[in-house]
Amino acid sequence: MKFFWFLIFLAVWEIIRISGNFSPLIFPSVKDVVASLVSSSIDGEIFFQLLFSLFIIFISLAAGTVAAFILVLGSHVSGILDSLLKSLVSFFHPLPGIAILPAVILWTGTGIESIFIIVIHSVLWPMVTNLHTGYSSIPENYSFFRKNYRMNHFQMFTGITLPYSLPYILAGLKISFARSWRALISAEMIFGAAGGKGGIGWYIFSKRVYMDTAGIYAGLLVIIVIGIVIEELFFTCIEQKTVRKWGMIS
Amino acid sequence: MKYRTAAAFLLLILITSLLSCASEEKDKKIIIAEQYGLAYAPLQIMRVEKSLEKKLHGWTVEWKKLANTAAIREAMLSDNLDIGFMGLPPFLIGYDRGMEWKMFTGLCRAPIGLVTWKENIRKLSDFTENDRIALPQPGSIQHILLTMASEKEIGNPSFFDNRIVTMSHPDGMNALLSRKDITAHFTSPPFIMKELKQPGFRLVVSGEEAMGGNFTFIGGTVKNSFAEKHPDAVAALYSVIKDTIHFISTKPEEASDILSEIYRMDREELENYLTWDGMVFTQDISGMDRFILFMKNNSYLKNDIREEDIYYR
Repeated sequence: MKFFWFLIFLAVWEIIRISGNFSPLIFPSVKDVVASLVSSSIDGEIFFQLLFSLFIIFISLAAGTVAAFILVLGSHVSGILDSLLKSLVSFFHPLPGIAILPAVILWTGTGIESIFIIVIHSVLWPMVTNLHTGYSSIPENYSFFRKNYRMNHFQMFTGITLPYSLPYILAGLKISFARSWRALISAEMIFGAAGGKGGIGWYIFSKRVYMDTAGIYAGLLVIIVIGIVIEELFFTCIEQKTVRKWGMIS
Repeated sequence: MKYRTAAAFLLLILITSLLSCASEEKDKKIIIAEQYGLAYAPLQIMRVEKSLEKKLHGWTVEWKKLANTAAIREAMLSDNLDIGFMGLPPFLIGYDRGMEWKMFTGLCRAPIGLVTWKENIRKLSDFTENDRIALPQPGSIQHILLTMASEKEIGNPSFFDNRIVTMSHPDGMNALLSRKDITAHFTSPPFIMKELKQPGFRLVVSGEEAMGGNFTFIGGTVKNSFAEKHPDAVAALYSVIKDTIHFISTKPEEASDILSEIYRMDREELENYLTWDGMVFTQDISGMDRFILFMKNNSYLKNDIREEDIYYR
């Protein structure tokens, strides 16, 4: 279905282009966009830029998730930590990643560290919120199991806590991915080549300054495809193998 | 239902494309864009003194300050700009990609160059992996001069391409003065003079060394459709620039009075910069051939550009 609409979109695009009302520097032909995509893929440029962006996202998602776990577990141990964490979430959750950029540049400069700070910031708070909800929604009764079956904390964690909160973890990951992906691309477009590699946002920006309009659209297309692959295929696949199979969500 | 949505979508596109045709009719209005820096001083004087309005009776003159040439090109494409002032390389890149514009005047030559605060950086090969260079954008005159210099010294024009941070001149200067990860700044007047006044700051390479001769820093471009419709307006603009440049060179004190207010600088300091060695306001264009040659050889330009085609006369 999506594919059908995509074809319609392409057709409308070509009609507008052929109508000749716009300069090809605004509306390049679909052929040019594909050609730009192909040539960037052949020389590996877009591939490496993309890999670099995804690498940053992956590291930040992992670091953010682990940090969120630690924070949430901590908040279940101590009441003070709990109220601190709740306050921190309400302070920082509403801040878009790109909004803290000027402050982050002041602290750490324009290197790769600041990109990590911004992306981890976009990952951490939605993750904490979701984990917290997931953890809190485990029914009281389950802690009796632990006593009856004499499970230790680790067994309790892997056997009950983790599977039970998995839908929330997955939802958290989805939101975190979407947020961090947006934050990263915006940051790359402002920073330039952070860490000497660039990233997909920088790819689009450099296409802009060299006035390669087809290249701009090629970059956008890649971002869309990555979004679809990750959000629809990757997460749907994990869901089907786990929470859907276990009947936790329908 | 589906068809209805699709039809509505198509209609929306149709309307927007029609609207864009309708808005084309705007007579007797000229929109001019410039950027940051002392190189644009004649334009600043023209703007506050309303010199162009005095020459073009019944015209509305609108001035815009844009952060970089990409913004100027985009504004022209979307029909929000008639005249733009910029460095020669970004003009050439636009021309190469099919922008329908021509250069109708030069504006100045200027002392530009790469400034660093780091003690151990004396030449380009002293830069390490972790050093960052701030400049307005890839493809800008600063960037092209940097690639020229690195081709000469290091043998690799794209050597610094992944160590560039894009910043407007004022932001770049602030970043450099804070002595953090931005180790060098390729910049132009008055920023370059202010930076070089700082203790320990020094010039690594100048624009003229990179280029191997002098060159026009900023020129004025006009959109072809505007020039065809209003050749008289372009001619008037050209002659007003000529008069203003003459005014600056014959009466630098008066010019500095006007400019020190606009640039929010001390009058003495400004006059000093305005008459700085290498700061020359002139409508002659020089160095275009060398930019074309270098940029073609290094694939910044795709087509063979002949110098006689790119000027408006």
